[in-house]
Amino acid sequence: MKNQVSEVTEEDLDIIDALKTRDRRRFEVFYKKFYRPLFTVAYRYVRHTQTAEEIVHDVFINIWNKSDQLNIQSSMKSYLFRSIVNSSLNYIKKEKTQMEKQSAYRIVHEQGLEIGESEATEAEEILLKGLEDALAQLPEKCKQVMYLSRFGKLKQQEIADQLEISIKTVKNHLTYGFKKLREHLEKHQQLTIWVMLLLKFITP
Amino acid sequence: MAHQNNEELIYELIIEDLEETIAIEDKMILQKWRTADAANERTYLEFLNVQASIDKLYGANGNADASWEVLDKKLSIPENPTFKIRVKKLNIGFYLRIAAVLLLVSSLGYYFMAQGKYAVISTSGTANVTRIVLPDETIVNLNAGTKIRYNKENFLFDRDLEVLSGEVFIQVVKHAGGQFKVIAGDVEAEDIGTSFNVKNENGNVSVTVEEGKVALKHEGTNQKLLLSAGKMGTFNSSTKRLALADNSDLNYKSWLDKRFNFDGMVLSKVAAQLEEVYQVPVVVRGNVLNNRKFTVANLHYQTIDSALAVISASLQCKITREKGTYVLSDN
Repeated sequence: MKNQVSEVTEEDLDIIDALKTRDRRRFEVFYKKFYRPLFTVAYRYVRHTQTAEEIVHDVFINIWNKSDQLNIQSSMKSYLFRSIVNSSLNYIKKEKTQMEKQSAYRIVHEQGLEIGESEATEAEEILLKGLEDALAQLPEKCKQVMYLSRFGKLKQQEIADQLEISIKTVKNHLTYGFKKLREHLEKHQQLTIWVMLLLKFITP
Repeated sequence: MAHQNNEELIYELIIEDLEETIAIEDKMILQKWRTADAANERTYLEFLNVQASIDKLYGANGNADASWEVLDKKLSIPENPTFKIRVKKLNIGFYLRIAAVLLLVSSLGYYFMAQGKYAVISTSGTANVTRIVLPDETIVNLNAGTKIRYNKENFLFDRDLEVLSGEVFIQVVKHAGGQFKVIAGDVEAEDIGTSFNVKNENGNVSVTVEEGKVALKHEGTNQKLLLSAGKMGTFNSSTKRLALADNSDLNYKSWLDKRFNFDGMVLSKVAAQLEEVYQVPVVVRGNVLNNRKFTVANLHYQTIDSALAVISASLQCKITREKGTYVLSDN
């Protein structure tokens, strides 16, 4: 109980007041402050810009339209991220079949691109695409911790509170996540050097 | 097992260091570990590399202004028919707790707010490029060893950004508030356009304009320069003189985008630039190799290994690593 009270910040009070007084300008400032990390977390789950945008909108529409019915147990920030993660996971669950079809198409499509345009493709784009995949392949809880930490910019204690796990477990997930991504980048780096050298030898 | 635990502990410290939440004593432990062995430093850099790559994914999509415009319209519809999320019932106890906190904050908060009206952001000497978004959505990228400050309470009305030390690249957004102004040492740079680079080295300031126009002023001597794209203005803190020149440094913002253009530059200078941007020591062995000229357009890699691999392949020289230093030598 003590924790929950201490988590309510001055900013929470301000936004609650803005909702109460229907102050659209302050709501806008609040929205813009959290938009980017929330959108990025949603996007990492659903991998679709428009869907991620709609998920963020729905959460804020909910806050605005139903402010008198909201049951926020901790800080507004924590509430927002919990809502975004839950909405994203619900979306994935609902759209699973369709997503599978889409990703099957995407893999075929992108493989075609890589073969056809491999020389023109920037090394960085390949790296980032690989990194996205490496992130997505992390175990579910680890992935959630990594998303909230690196994209949601939540502190370790905030993640622990939100996921109801110990801070030690958060640290373990982050360490594991970083290790896996590091391994991935190391492999990528070796591959890039190899490709570069190969290109130098085969091009006149 | 003990070794494994130590490794886990160090990894945790590196992550805390990246999050800038590390305690001073832990920072010292980490620093000691980094200098103890070249392999440790390499591990640290690999973690930094992971973070830098993740940061690129973070910045890949999303525009808050455009998004708000759409949301603003949706909010104007009284009951949104596409509304999907279920809400829980009001918890009166929560608001009572807020009321209690409000009393506490109102009695204690002002002091801290008055003391903390400035947001100060500083990056360590070995930090990766740090990207921040100011309250007006202006983007500021900070090089390593940089310190900036702005008034977070009043920024939307008085858009002053102080570059206390180091180097920043700024992409200013149009805003209804005051004109965006950068204060670096004794000079002020007023943005009339979009993007420019500012470097403050002990009061010696250089401003390089990428797009738009910037007015550079020194209040003390009433000097003023108007810089357009491709121009560089400098201020010498000893002579108190402002000077205007064409920007001849093709790589002035390679610290930010890691893009290099070398046009017949001797390898020793190439190595020095790479060393500065990637923050890893690079040495060229032998007079002949040092003076060999290297030309490349748009060399663009996130890691120095890849950049050096291109040089090595082009000049047919060898790359080795000696105690954390990259060494280029003849085959």
